[in-house]
Amino acid sequence: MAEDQADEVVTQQTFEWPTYRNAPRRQREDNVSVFWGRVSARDATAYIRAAQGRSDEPLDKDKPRIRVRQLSVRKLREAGFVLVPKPGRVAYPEHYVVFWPSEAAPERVWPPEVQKAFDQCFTGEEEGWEE
Amino acid sequence: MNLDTLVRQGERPWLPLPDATDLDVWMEYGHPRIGTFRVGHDLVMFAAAYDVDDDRLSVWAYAPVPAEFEALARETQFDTPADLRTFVNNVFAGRTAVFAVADNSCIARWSTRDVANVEEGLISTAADFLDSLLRAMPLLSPAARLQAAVKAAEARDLVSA
Repeated sequence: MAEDQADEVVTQQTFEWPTYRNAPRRQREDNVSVFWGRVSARDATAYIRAAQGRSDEPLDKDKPRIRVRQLSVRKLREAGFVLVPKPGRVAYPEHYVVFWPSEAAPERVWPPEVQKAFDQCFTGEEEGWEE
Repeated sequence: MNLDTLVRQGERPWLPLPDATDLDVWMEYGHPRIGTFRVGHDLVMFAAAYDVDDDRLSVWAYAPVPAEFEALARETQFDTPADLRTFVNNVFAGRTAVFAVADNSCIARWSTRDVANVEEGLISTAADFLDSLLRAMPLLSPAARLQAAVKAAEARDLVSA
């Protein structure tokens, strides 16, 4: 069981590879969205595009910059991040949010060292659209 | 329900009135995108019609949920995000809805429109709403018109089409 937990990951998607968001967007959000477990770039992107109001596939020219990476749940928790399930009404992929508990409300800006700590939870596993 | 008073300037699109209650988020990514809230006894569905993360402006739709659908709205689960979107599109199709444009997730302008009773009615009516806002604006300079046309061409992948 302990080993299972150690291996647990969440998946983060980007439309702008090699960059991934490592902090909430200022004034808009207070968390970073991820998906529980290993989720393909296609499934993660389908979720996000549905959330955006778009039901079509991305353009071919945009696909090379669409990727997903895995973050270690154990490392996130050890670094002080809080993961909260927010699946809403969709069964798969299972949406979670990552919070940084802070007194810096209401903007809840993640300081540079927190952003770096978030990036350091990357397991090294990454996958593109066609993989 | 008076649709004209369903949203208020400066409020968040997913809770667009100070006295809205019972926010029930059906789908979120960074922030709520689809869900319901209550105004008094009335249940209202909201949905992002266009909310792409890097764009400052987003477009939102709101429609009252008929009382006979409230139980369905409380319990329905969806296997995939596409199933949820299809359901939402069907809820709005053929109904009168409020469409609002938000600037950095703050409601700026809105109007009431009849949603076409077709599968993509929500999206096409949202596009019509934004077109009408643009038509009401002062004419752009030739340089600004050209810039807008280039952006539109990029969005439609003109070069590789």
